[in-house]
Amino acid sequence: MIIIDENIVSFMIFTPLVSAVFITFIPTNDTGSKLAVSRFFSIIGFLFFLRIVYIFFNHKLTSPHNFSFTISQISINFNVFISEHNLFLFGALSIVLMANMILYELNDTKSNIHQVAPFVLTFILFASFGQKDIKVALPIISISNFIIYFLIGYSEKNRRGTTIFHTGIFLFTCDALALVLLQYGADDFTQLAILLPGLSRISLPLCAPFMKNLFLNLDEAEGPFILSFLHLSGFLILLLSKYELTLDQSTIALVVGIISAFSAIYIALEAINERKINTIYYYFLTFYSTLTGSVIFLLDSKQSWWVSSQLVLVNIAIFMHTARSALLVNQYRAQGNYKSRIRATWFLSICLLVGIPGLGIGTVLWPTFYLFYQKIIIMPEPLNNLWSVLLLLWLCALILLAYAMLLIFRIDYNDKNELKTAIFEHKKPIKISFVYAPFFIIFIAITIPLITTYMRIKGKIL
Amino acid sequence: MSLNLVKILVLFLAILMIFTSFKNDFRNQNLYRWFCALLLLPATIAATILIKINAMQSSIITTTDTNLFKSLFFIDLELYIESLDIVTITCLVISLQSFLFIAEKSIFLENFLVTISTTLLLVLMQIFSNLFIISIIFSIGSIIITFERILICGDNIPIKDLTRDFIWQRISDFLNITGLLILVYNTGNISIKKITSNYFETNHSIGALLFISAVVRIISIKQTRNDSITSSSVFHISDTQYKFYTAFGSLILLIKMRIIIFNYAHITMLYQAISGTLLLVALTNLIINHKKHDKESSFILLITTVSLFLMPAIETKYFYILTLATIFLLPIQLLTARNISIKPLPRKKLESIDIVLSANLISRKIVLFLSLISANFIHPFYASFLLYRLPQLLVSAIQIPLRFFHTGSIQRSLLFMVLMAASYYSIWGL
Repeated sequence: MIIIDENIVSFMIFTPLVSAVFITFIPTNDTGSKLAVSRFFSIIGFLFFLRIVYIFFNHKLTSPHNFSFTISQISINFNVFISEHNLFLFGALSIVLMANMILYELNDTKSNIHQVAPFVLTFILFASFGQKDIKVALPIISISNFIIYFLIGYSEKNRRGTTIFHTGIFLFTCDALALVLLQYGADDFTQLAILLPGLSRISLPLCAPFMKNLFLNLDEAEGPFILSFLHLSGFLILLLSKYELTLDQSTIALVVGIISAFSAIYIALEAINERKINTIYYYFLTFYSTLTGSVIFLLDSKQSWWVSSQLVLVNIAIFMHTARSALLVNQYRAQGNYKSRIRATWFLSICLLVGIPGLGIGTVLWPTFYLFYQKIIIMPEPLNNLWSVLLLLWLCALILLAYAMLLIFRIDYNDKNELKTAIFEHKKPIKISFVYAPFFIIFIAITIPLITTYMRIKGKIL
Repeated sequence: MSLNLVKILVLFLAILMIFTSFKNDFRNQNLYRWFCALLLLPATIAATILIKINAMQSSIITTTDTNLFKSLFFIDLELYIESLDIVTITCLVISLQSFLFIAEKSIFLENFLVTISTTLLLVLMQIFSNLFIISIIFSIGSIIITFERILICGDNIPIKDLTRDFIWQRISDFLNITGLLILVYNTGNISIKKITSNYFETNHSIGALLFISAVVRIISIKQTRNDSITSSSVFHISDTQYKFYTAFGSLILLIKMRIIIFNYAHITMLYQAISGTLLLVALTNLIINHKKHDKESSFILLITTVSLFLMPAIETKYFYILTLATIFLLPIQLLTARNISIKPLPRKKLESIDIVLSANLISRKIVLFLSLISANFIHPFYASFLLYRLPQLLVSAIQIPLRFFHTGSIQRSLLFMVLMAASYYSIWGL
């Protein structure tokens, strides 16, 4: 155990890379073996992360970790810093990878890169999460986006070309602008543009006009991972750019707050028009991510890591589950096996995302709103009113999203012919795991805040 | 002793609920019914002893040894049961026991799960001291019962009819929790026990938020009206159970929060006026529908009317009237046990004074219109034109000189490049 503990960080970071190498060695057609290997390594990676959490909160983790390689006169050198601010990002990504591997079946033999891409992307993000300097992390993340464009390009959607063009050109422009500004060292309001790469990845509609196009043209099985990748890298960039900005903290918080509140309303209105169950949960993910974006800036650093980690982890867990449920629901509908059990389970899965107090994401959403209120009420007069309006906008957006959920739940399944066939045809039995999954997620959504709070208290005591 | 009795009651109700959820394994209905009765027996005995103790001592049950819960959940899970709560709890349990025996064979299997969930959730709502937990139990309960209803009749009734009140319930939840969050910030506590023992002044807005949330919730009962019940009334019963849960739960919330809501005399007058108006509307509807022998609607309106009628009775002094009147809702639950044949209703347009339906319609139209604007105008203008098309136009404007030379032929493009290079060297030099 001591040997593992000494090199635990390197084990966690390099597990995805090793698994990518192993998967590449297996022939492309042998998807069974590839799936087994990827599941094994994703679970091992998650266990390493759990060990890191344990060591970190016992104050036994030495930081930074230095990695250096020399391959024929080219030496690669990088440091990895682990603090409470970025620890949850590691956790979220290892959960995403594990969920992606366990929940989805690897049944395409398109190309090797399809099977390896999640691991390579995870490795790149793991390496970037440990960076302290945005000038180092941003170019790596920017370049790794090309793998995403490749994945989108290999799907079967009609407008994938436009999607790649819109997403690529916008993200690249934002990244380039931010890097130039960082080199130039602006000290006035222009430096707010440094926030753009982060905000555009979290897909705030005001900063990411490609959002709707991207949602509609992502492959159902790969979409959740790609979106999680974009959002987590966005959080990293926001966390790092927080330290780069020299402006007054409350001004930045206000700017991000205004953008995210208006975006929330915008997302909710867009979601009402959405008529596909395969995309509705992207809107919810984006909504809670925008909220997390403003948590990072509004609350002070002692509170923000704790609240944002809860929000991100619960949000990602529920998002992955709902995405999988939607895929299964579509499958059952295609088989003419859309029975009341599936309807009820789908209803419960969607309800986890709506923000009902105490259920699903609601377990962390309302404490966050409370902390916001606590922060807002002590502000001086004009700021105080402005923030109250923003808080109200978030609540309105939440109600609109609940309405959107209701519409999507009703419209897709109200076909009377389908109802008739559903009663008489039972072609394939319903998976028991599908029916019990929402209850498991309810349990996870309660335990994540408890564990985070426990760690916070324990961290203080020690 | 009283505390242990409450624990036994809740535990056995919970066991019964879990047992009921595996009903599909039972072929013999009578045996199933006897098993249920056997499991319910300890709960009934506990409830009976509780009410006896209560009658003798008029006691208030509280707990102080919450260390285990505190260390587990970091929140106060204190129990606090007033003497009048014990009355309602006992009535609920007896009502459940009666349902078990008088329910008809044709409806029993489908509806017992909903009935036991309703009872358990309503009992749980009354034993906790923390207002947050009470509200959370209520809102999660509405989701669980809707889930069970879809499970029972999702194959036969369109989802639209099963989830009609969903959005109103959520609005009410959000208002309620917002009010409670402000209350926690202002007073520092959320426990009923502390609020009742210490006099304090709260903001009007908190009371208003909580009251509006209760009104929205009670009005939402009307939204649950099923128009498309066709062959059997089996599904109608789970529907009425749900309405009963909403009415009863909202009244329990009102009783629990009475000190916060009815803190000021003049504001209370206003609340009573609102309740009175709503009562008038509901009564008018009841009379109109009664003439048409519209049994189903009268049934629903009966619940609404009774609930609304109780609202003006709530004042801190006379809250026992409310508690007693809440118990009057119980026969509605019991009525559902008999299979009353109901004729299918044709879909109707708005006829009477139906504030709720028209408000719903208008708000829905506004929201849909706004979303249409954002999807068809703002998004294309902002995303497609402003951020992609406009820069493209600007870049192509810069390219105008190039267009003179470049017409698609590679030779001319090369010529242009040579000319460019030559002019560059001639102007700037090496």
